Amino acid sequence: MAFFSQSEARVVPGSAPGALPEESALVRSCVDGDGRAFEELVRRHTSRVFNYVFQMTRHRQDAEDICQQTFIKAYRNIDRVDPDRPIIGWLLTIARRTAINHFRSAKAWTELPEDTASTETSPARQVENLERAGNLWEKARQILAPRDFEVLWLRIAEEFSVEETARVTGLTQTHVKVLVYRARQQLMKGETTA
Amino acid sequence: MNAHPSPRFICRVVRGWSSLAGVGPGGAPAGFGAHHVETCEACQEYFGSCAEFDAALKAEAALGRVSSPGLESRVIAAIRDSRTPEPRRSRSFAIPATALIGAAAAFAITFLVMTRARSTPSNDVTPEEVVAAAQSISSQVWGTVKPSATVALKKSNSLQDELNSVYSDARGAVDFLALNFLPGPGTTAGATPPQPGLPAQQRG
Repeated sequence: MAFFSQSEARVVPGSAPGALPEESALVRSCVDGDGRAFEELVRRHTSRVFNYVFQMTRHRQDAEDICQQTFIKAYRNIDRVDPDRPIIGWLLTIARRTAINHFRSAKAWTELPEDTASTETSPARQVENLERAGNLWEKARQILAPRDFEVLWLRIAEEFSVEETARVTGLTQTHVKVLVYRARQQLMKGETTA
Repeated sequence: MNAHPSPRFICRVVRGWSSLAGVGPGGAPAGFGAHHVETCEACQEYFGSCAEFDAALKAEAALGRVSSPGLESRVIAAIRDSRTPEPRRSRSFAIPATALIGAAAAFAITFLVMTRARSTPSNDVTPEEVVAAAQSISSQVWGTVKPSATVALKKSNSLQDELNSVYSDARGAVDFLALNFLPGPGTTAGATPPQPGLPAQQRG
């Protein structure tokens, strides 16, 4: 059974408006055994998958490993995806589950502290932290719960629909809407009080 | 009860409702909520700030994206390494191979069972009957072999002794085979196997 069952016309962020039919053709070619077509999909979506995992883990090496495992799993199960749907949602679902397995449990995924590997702050890191201090997403990471941050990231940064966000996170659509509303309220309050 | 709810309460209802049914930028409401927003400056400001906030989040997300140089090539290399068609082939050949092994095993078991059943004597056979059958076979073989051998020996007396020894050996072998491989009391309950030298003793 295909992971996505319904078709929805939407534009993948960061790609051209007419990219979806081309992506569908690539997915169909992959299902037919064209390895180069899948490599083209890798080139298109590696950055988004890596960024999503990196935003959730804040650990570059882990994010790269998880990204690599995600695409290998996707390659082995490419016949399960609906070519008429954007493949990025399916990829992020795989990435999320791979990350959960990578950290041994969902708890580790949701409560992973920032920069778990580095105990000392290098000068370059300090500069980076200073640069990031004004970033709304850094504030969101500090204010919001990890799950709320993830939902907000998918809805706003990845421009996923409520339905797709619910699929990736395993929540109901109503839950997603409520979480986004609350997250936005919290962040806007934080902005006004800051 | 207040017949006209306060504008603030209406605003809160509309803003809360918009979180579930909002379709516009910043989660602006549709339906009755949209009509309220048209007439409420506070809500217009609120939803406007929501839209601006979402736009700022999108912009900062785009700016804050992290790149990992060489990750694409590493992923592609890993996928190329993982392209092992052998598992699928082995899976496709696994079923016929297993079926063949199973069929061969079933055939072997059936053959053994049938062979054993064929060689299993009935419980009605007595040792005396086995001895009589052995003697009968021995005499039949002797009756067919001896005339031709006698005729042959008439032409060459020098081989008489050797032929006699061969004949005695052949007769002993036939007796041995008849006693050991014909259905005998050795496999029947309570019966004792016949002794190899018994026919000769009985013949005296």
